[in-house]
Amino acid sequence: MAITMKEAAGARSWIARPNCSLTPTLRRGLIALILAASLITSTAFLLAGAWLVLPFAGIELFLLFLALRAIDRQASDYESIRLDDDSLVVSTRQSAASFSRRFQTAWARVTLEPDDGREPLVCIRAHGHSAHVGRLLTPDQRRQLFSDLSSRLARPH
Amino acid sequence: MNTASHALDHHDGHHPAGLLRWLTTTNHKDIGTMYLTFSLLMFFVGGAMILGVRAELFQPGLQLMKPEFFNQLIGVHALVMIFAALMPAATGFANWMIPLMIGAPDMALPRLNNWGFWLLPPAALLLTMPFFLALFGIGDGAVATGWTLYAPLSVQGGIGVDFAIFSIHILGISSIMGSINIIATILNMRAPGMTLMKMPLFCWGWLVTAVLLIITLPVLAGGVTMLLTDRHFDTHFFNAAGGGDPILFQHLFWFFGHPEVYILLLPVWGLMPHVLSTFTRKPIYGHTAQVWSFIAIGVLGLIVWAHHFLTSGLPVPALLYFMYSTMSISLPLAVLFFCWIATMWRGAMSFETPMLFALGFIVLFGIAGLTGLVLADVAADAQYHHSYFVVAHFHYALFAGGIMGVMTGVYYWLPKWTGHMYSEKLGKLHFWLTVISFNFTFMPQFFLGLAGMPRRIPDYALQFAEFNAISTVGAFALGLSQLIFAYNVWRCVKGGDKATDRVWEGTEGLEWELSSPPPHHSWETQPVIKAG
Repeated sequence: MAITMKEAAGARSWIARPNCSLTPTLRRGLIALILAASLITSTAFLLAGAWLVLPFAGIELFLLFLALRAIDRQASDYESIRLDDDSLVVSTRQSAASFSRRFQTAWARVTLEPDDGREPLVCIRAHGHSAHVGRLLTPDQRRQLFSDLSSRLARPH
Repeated sequence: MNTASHALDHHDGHHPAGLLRWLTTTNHKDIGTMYLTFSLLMFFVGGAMILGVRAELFQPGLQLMKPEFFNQLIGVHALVMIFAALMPAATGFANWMIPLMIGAPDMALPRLNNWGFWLLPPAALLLTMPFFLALFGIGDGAVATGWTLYAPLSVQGGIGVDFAIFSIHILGISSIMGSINIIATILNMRAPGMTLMKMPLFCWGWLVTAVLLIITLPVLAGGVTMLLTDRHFDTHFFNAAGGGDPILFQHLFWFFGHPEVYILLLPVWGLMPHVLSTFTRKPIYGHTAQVWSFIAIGVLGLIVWAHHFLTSGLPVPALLYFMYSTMSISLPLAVLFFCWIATMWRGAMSFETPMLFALGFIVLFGIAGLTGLVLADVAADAQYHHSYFVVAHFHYALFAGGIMGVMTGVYYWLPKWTGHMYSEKLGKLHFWLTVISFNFTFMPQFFLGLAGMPRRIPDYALQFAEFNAISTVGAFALGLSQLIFAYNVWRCVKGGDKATDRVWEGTEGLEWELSSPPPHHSWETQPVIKAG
């Protein structure tokens, strides 16, 4: 889990993403290697009369594909907060589901709220709406984010 | 390399207790513990079977059992030891150590991890159940074909073969799940800064192992399924009378079976440099060379399978190819041996139990390598094939290489896992009794093989009596010595002197930055690896 903070043109943003060390090149290389090895092996045995190797290799490659897709979906998860004088925008993506909410900075309040018995999440509220962030962060990082946001929102706008 | 930051967050709540914890856990440490416990249990089950075999072979003639039961014990012993003892032990190491070594909070696919483990007990039950069914008059006992399940013997065998086929399928599914998970974890969850070439050698050993499993397991699955259809659905894949080819089964089996040897050994080869480096207080020599050796061994391991049946009537060009390609594996293996010895060279060596086992491994596994070269020679193999020389050779590879390697790992990491030191006195006693009794068991088998005693027979000529008697005494001593190991592990789990976080003086690596035992959820804060 990594959180990055940027400040530009009067706006500050925090973006948290899961750590993914599998680069696209490495992913393609892995798939090519296993696909080639499995196909060469299965085809050789097919030609020798052992055609039943092929479906098993297919099932296995399909499982590997599912695993890599699960990793891909996880890799595209993020949580971001963008704060300027007028608005605070929370955007998240978790398992391909996206969420975005805009709050007025002057009315936004930030708290730490328990997350189903786990370490508390950072909760942003205004006008009866709320958004929770911090699922991709460690407890220490959540507390740090809460502290940063609180001090920013406490300043006069 | 060193860590710039790490955290030792303790969050031991939020997981069920008791049996439910073990059934539902997705924690890599819990699952690693289950794999290792299961492996130890099956090690004793498989060991008890072969002690029955050795008791029968103590004297010539049939004393204790019928030949059919003797064959069943041999076949199930091998299958249990390979699939239910050694492989789960290596997977247990992977589960425990890979996330800790690469700075990941858990395995990439934790639920898959849980399912992968829980497939093992039913598979082991299927493998051994025919023994018990036979007691009630159902079937004629367990699989009696040896672990190779060669056709046409296996096509004609009893229900034990069907049970073995289903068991192998389930074990294969479990291995595939484990492999996919390990590949995903190693490639996707390394801490920032940990490039592939900075990755610990244990993880490299496992990465090559997992790829080998993925490439070879469909071939085994296809082969045993074809066997099943030959047995029950009137196909003739392996029936020469029906236009099939029994040698095709040997190709299918050994295309999996030979890489399986490396599947069992690569994790151990990956572990050795860490142990040697720790107890010589020197950095690992030739990290990159060892990585490329693992890869070379993996690739060569895929193209040498037919040396297991050089006597089956292969054409001469094929014999030459398989002889030379098999011998070429000794080159990357020699690189590994060189690196291990160079790591120790002029080091400040100390001889704690893991180091003793590592040294024992190097010497005895060296004997396996040298006798393997003899068997790879087509002309010599014509004499030694299917003799006790082969039995001795592969036990030097798989007991001295595999099981002693696992014991090296257990003694090395046990204080980290439990937070307690094991008894060094008992550990050393275990080592010396194991090494001495192992050689008493298997060294005579080289001579038996050279003298012409065939394997897999319950009775033998009088000329082989003395060496068989020595081998049996050695086997019982070897079996009993392992009770010391089980007791030492049990004592360590229950208590003992507190282990420090780094446990050993010369340790290097992320896993030693964590407390002993590590927190239930480790690496909640991502460590960062810096160049250096």
